[in-house]
Amino acid sequence: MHIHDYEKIWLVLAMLLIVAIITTITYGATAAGIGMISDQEETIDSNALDEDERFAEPRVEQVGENEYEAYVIAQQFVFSPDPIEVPANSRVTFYITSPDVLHGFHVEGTNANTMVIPGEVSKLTVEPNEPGEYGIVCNEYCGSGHHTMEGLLIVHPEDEFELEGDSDE
Amino acid sequence: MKDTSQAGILLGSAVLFVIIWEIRSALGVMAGIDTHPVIYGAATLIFVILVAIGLNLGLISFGDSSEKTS
Amino acid sequence: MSEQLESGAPTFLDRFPQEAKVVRAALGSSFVALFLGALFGIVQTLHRTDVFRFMDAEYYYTVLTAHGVLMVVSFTIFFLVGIYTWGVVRSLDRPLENIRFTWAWYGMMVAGTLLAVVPILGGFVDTSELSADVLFTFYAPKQAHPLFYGGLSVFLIGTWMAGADWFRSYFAWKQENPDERIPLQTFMALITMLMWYIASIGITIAVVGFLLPWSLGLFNDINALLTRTLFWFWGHPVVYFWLMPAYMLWYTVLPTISGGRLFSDPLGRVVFILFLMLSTPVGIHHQYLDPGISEGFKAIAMTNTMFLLLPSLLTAFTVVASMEHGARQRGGTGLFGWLRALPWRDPAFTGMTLAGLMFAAGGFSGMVNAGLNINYLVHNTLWVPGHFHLTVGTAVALTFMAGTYWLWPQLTNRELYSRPIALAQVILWFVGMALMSNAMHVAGLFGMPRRTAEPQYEGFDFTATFGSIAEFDLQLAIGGTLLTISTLLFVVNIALTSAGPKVSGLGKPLSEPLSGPEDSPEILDNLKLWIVIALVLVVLAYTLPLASIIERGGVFGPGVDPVPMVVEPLVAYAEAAAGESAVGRLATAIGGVLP
Repeated sequence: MHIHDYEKIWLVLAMLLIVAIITTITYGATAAGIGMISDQEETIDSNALDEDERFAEPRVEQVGENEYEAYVIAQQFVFSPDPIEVPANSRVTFYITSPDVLHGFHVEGTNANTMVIPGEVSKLTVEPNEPGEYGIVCNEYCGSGHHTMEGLLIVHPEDEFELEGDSDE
Repeated sequence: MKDTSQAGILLGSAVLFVIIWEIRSALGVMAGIDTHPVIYGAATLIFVILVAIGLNLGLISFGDSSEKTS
Repeated sequence: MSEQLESGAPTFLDRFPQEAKVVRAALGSSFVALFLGALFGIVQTLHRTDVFRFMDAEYYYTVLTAHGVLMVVSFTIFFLVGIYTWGVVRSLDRPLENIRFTWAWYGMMVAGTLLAVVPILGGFVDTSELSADVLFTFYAPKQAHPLFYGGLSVFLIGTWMAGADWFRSYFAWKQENPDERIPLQTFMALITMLMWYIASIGITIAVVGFLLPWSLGLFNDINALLTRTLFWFWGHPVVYFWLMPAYMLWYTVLPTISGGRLFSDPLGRVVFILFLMLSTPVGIHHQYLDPGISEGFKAIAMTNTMFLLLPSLLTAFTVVASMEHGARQRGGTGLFGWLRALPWRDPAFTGMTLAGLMFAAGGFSGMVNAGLNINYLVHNTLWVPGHFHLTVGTAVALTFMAGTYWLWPQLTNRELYSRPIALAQVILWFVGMALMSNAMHVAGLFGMPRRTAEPQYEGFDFTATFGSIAEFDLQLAIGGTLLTISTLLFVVNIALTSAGPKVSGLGKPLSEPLSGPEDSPEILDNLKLWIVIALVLVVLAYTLPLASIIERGGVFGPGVDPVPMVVEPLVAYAEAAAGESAVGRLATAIGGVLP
């Protein structure tokens, strides 16, 4: 099979481009440490969220010195809790599920973005560094009220943050 | 005498407009440079029209003049 | 004047009148779908950007379902079956084996489309149970009326029959021509269908195994992640199902209308074989942000996907090389000056070239989508429609329209009604799409969601790093409007062509490649080998993820109920849902028969 010289060069350049792209992505996955949403959490009965210790009461909880967990339910057409309040300069792990249909959970202006699938729990760890108010948008079509489904993530300055209700000392 | 056909000028103008307009997004997203849409759009349009007129009048051309068969 | 080979030749209609009729029917159906899809499209464009709203927001999702299904199921696939029938008959130079069988599969496709469209349109009627506001992707637990799933199934079966028809022609031809290489157009059609059969495995299990009986109420629980994964098993190769007929036109028609010859037939075969092997084992790249699928499977999908860049880059080379050859045949000289010698006045040529140009941009935005962790920034934002309007919306759609300008006169023995309008149409499409998809890409980067009727939120504002959201909304609306006008120009031009007087001598033969099939290693024609490798790759890519999903959540899911998508005031829906049972739904579906 006759392959023109220019074509051979092009083929080599194409392969280099592909390898370069894969390398960049691998850098993001390893050195920059960006993990993908995964299957670490067990499945859950979407009809029995109230029997799950995390989702019976959607909330933010402190689990370590600077570590928090947020248990979030996405359903037609609200996020609970709303607003979600966390302190700046911490590590927050979201656990998100749905009792009804697919939803999205996207903290606007950030790369905190995940699918929410009934029966599964999405686990997403972020480091909110800048205080402020961030809109949360459901970006997966979930029904006739999909466009009204929004929430709010409030990142308080560290010294101004207090968990509601019981706080661990 | 112009080297470029009218169809070519129309097409080339469309492509040139699109390229310059897309550059605005590149400037915005990659360099953080904000440009006023109306001013940028008008400038692009004027530039494209001038190039089209220039090609039409044979004032500008590119490449070698070639034997045209269409 | 003319750059064509001896025209004045008999047309496809002259030589194969029965086959031409079927091809016209298929293409005609495709244009009807395009036209209707475009009307829905402009409604969406004006609604979501708040330029013009005349309906309640909830109907947006009905419009969107119609737009999606009509465009990427009906328009694209009816065109494929038409153009491949033409290509197979023409390249094998023999009529179809059984024209009644051909009409049968065409009829299946029409029937399937109508069956699916009825519940979709039923979404506009509040009082009706008939609805399918589930969008083109119909993810469970959102549930459509059984007719929707049934219609899609019938349509799919029609396409399988079409493939069987072409294989039949091929086998019959091969009996009479045992030592010849498979002609390129037939080769491309057959390889495309092999890919389609493999891809169909996923969607068939999803629809026939789960969604259809579930929508009939035969069982209640469903594993949402499983059916979604099975959908995307098919959902990625379907985009190549749309793309490969366009590639066929670029490889086999574009060189001739450029005034030259295809640079390399063997490379064309290699490209199609690469698509056969790589199209399916990548579907998980649509699920990077799904819980329940491990990072490892996602990383494998990413690597496979990046290699899909290869056949497209190879195509870019071959297509441009063939065009350059044509240009130099026409007298073009110089490093870039040959560009000016190309037949830019020919709407078929210009359309295909603009389509290819846009595809380059679309391909790269697709690489961003495929970039695993990069996907976090763009998933489910407006960037994604920006991407696919460049690829299926332009590379495919515009090539189909351009190809029609070249082929339709040969199917009808009538001159194209207006070449200047056709040229204006393709240029308008290019400009309109550039504006619309540019706005979509940028707004998506700012976080604007896709598939959302009114993305104007109360608690926060999107941050535009340059320009403003309002400005990109306006640009999107302008682009969409230009596209709608362009669609109308196309449809009217073709309709008027068909109404014109019959003329003879419109035949346009295709040139022979510079490096022809005889230069192509015989192994490339070994269809059995390639399908085995393709199946192995699919098994490797999907067995473990699917097994994992089933093992973790069960075949019927960890307790997930159906949610029927009926457009009505939410209160009324809640009341109806409270009173429904699976048996009640089944009874309603089969018309009042009570157990």
